[in-house]
Amino acid sequence: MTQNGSLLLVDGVTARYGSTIAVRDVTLRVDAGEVVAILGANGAGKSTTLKTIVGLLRASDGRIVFNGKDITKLPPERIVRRGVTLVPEGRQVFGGLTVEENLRMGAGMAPTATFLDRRAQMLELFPVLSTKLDVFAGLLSGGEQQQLAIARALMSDPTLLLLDEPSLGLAPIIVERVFELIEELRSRGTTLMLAEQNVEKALQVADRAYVFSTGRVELEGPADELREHAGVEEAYLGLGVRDSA
Amino acid sequence: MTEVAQHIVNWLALGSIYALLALGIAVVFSVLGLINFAHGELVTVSGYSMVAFAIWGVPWALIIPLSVVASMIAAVLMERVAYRPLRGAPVSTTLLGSLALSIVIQSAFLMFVGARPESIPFPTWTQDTFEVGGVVIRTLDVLTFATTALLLALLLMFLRRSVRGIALRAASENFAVTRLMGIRANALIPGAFALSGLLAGVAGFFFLATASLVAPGTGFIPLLKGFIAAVIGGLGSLSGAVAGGFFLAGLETLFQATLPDGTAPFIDAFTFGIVILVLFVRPHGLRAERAALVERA
Amino acid sequence: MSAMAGGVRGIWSYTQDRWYLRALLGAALLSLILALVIVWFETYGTRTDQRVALTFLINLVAVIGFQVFMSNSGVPTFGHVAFVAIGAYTAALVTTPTDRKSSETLIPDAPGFILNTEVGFGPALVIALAVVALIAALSGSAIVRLRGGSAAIATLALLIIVRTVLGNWEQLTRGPKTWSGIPGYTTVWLALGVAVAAIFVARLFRESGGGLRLRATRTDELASSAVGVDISRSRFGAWVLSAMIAGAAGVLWAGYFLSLAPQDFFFDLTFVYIVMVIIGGTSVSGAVIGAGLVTLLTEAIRRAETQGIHIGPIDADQVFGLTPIVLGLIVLLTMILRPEGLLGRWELEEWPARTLRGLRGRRWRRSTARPVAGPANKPHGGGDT
Repeated sequence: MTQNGSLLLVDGVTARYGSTIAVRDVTLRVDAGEVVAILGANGAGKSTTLKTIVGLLRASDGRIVFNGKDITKLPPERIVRRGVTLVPEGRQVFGGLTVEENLRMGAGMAPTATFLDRRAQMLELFPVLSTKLDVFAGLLSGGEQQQLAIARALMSDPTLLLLDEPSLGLAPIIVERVFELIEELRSRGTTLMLAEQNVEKALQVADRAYVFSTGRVELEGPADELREHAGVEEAYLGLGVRDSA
Repeated sequence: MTEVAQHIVNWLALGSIYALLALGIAVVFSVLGLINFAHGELVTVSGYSMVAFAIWGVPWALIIPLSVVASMIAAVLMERVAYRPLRGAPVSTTLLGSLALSIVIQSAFLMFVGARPESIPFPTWTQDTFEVGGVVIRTLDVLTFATTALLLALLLMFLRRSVRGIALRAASENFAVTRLMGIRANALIPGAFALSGLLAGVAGFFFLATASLVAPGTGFIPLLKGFIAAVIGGLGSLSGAVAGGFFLAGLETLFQATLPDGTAPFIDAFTFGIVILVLFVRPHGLRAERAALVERA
Repeated sequence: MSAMAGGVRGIWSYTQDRWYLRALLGAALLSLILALVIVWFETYGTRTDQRVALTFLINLVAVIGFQVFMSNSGVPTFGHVAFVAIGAYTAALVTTPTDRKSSETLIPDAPGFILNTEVGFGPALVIALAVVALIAALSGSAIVRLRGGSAAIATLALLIIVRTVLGNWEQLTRGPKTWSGIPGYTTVWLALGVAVAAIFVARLFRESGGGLRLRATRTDELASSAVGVDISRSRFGAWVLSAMIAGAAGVLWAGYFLSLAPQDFFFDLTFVYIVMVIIGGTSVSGAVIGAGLVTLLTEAIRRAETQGIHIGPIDADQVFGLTPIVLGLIVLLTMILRPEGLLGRWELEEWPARTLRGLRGRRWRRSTARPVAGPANKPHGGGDT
C-alpha cells in the first residue's frame, strides 16, 4: 500500500494549460471510504486537479499515487481501468447515443455479461433511467443527464469516483437529489472526491475538504471545522487567508 | 415511361457510388474532424491494384476483395504517416496537409507508373444487361445498388450493436470523454480509416467498372463527388452522407434528363450552383437539426 | 548620440501608432526589396532568369490576392484562381485584335461589341477588374454567409463553376480549346508596378479597421461578433478586394503567356498558389517570401531534372511528377513542423522588434499570491478533528 495507507495521494503536483500554470504544488490525499471535497471559486484549479488525477491533463511536476501504484504518467484509459474515474464538468453525456449506449460506453470494453450485470445495478440506483433506455441522451433534462453521467461512470466499477461540479447548472431540487445520491454511494462503500462551488452542500456530505485559491491549496481540514472557519469565505473572495487569532 | 425507369435505375446506381464515397469521407471527418482529401486516391489505389492483380493472373473472384483490402491498407497508412502527426492542429492546417497528401500520392503514381491511363480488364459480366418491361438494365447497376444497400445495413448494425461501433460514434462526439470510459480511443482512429478504405474500395470497383481505366488523376472525381455529397448531407453526419450522395446523383440525373442538349456540358456548373444554394440555405447541410441536437448535449 | 536614438525611436513609434503609416512604410520596404531583386535579375540574369522573374511577379500578384482573403479571414479559398481566369479571359477578349477575333481561329460568332473592342493594357485592366468585381460581389454575397468548412467548399464550387463555364462557352471563349494571339503587353516593369500596387493595397487593408475586424473573426468568430463585428460584411470586402487583385494577375497573365486554356486555371494552379501563401506565413511579407521560395524551389527542381536525376525507375515523365511531389511534401512538413509558416503572423518589419524583445529577456511578473506555509493553515481553536 502507499505510505499512510491512503487510497489516493497527490504529491506536489503542478499542471499547466500551455504556458499558464493552472495548479501549483498541490498535495492532497483521499483515504478509502472517505468523501473529500475540493472547494474554491471559479478558476481556482478544482477541475484542473481532477483532470490531472485522471490523466486528461499532464502533471508537469509531482506525482500521483493510486492504490500504491504511480499513475502520474498514465493515459486516462489506463487510469480508468485501474479504478479511478471522473464524472466530467457539465455532464458531457454522449448526446448522439442512447441512454443504454452511454451506459455501455461506461462499461468500456467489458464483456456483455458484466455490462448487463452492472446495468441492472445502475437501473436500481437510478430508476428514472430505466424508462428511458432508448432515448437519445441529448434529449434528457439536466438532472437526468447528471444521473446518467454518474451512472455511466459507475459502470466501470470504480474504486474512486471523481465528480467535477455535479451540481452546476441544476435546479435546487435536482441538486438535492444529486447529493442524496452521493450519500447513497458513500454508504455503499465508494470512495468519492468532488469538486464543488456549492460549499454548503459539499461540506454537508464530505468528511474532509481542501480549499483552493488561484491554483494552490490554501486550506484543508475536516468538514465540520471548515464550516466554521472564516478563511473559507476569504479564499472564495480572494481576500487572503487570515490566521485565526 | 421506360425512360423514367431508366433514369431511376441510373440514379440508384450513381447514388450508391456517391453515397459510399461520401460515407467514407464522413466517417473520417466525424471521428477526426478532418477532411481526407486523399480519399480519392484510395480509389486510384484500388484501381491500380486491380491492374496489378490481373497481370499476375489472379482470378477476379479474388481481385475484388484484394483490391478493397489494398484500399484499406492505404487508408491506414495515410493515417499513420500523415494524419497522426497532424493530430490536434487547427482545421486549416489539416486541410492543407490533407491536400498536400493527395498531391503527393498522385504525383507518386505519375512518377512510378506513368501518366498513361491503364486499362482494367474487368470480367465480361460487368457489361451484361437484361431487360425488364422494355427497360434495359445493366447487371452492374443492380449489383451496385444491392451491394451498397447490404454494406449500409452491415455498417448500421456495426454502429448500433457492436461495442466498437458505439465507441466510434462516442469518439466522434467527444474524444476525451471516450477515453474516460477506459476505451483506447486512439486505437479507434486507424479503425475508422480502415473503414473509410473499405467504403472507398467498394465504391472504387463500381466507379471504375464503367470506364475501365485508371490513371494517376482518377481519384479526383470520386473525391469531388464524395466531398460535395458529404457536405450537402451535413459534414460528420453518416446518414447525411448517404442522403447527400443520392441527392447529388439525383441532381445530375435530373439535369441530364431534362436540360436541353446544348447545355449538357454545363451540368457540372448547374450542379455546383445548386450546391452553393443548398449551403446557403442550410449552412450545416441537410441534416442541420440532427447536428444541432448533438451540439446541445 | 542617445538623443538621436531617442529621436529615431520617437519617429518610429509615431509611425507605428498610425495604421496607414505602418502600412505604407511596411509596403514600401517590401516593395523596395522586391524592386531591387527584379532590377538585379534584369541587369545580371540570363533570359531564362528574367522569364522566371516575370512569371514570379505574375504569380505574386495572384498570391497576394489569395493572402488578402485567406490570411485575414482564416477561410481557405480554393476559388480565387477562378478570378485569375476571369481576369485573363476578359483581358484576352478586349485586347486581342478584332481581325483575329473575328477570324475562324477564334470566336467569329461572338457578339459585335466584343469583336469590335480592341484596347490596350490600361483599359483592359479596368474592364477586367470591373467584371471580376461583379462576379466576386455576386458569389461573395452567398459565400461570406457560410461558416466553417462550408465556406471553403463553396469557394471550391465556384472554381468548378467558372472552369466549366469557361470551358464550354464556345461562343465567347472557344470552349476547351486554346485561345491564342493575345498581344504581349506585359513587361517586367508593368508586372512589377502591379505587384507593388498589390502589396500596398494588401498592407493597407491588413492594417485598416476593416482588416483588423476581419482578423478578429479569424481568431474567434463568436467573440468578435459579440463585440459587434459583422462577420459577413467584413469578409465581403476582403472577398471582392482579393478577387480584384487576383483578376489583375490574370490580366498580366494573358499579356505574358499570350494564350489561354481553361484547364490552366484549375486545381494544379490553385495548389501552387496555396502552397505559396501558407509557406511564408500569413502576412503580406509572408506571401511574397512564400511565392519567392516556391518559385526558386520549382526552378531548382526543373534545372536538376534537365541535368538529369536518374534514380531507378524514374523516367522522363518525372518532369511533371517531381515538382508536385516536392511541393506536396514541403506542405506536409510545414503543416507538421511549423504550421504558421515561415514568418508566422508577422510582417517583415515587425520581426526585428520581436527579436529584440526576446533578446532583452523576459521579466516575469511575480505572482501576487500570498505565501502558504505548508499545505494548509490548520484552523485554531478547539473542536474535535
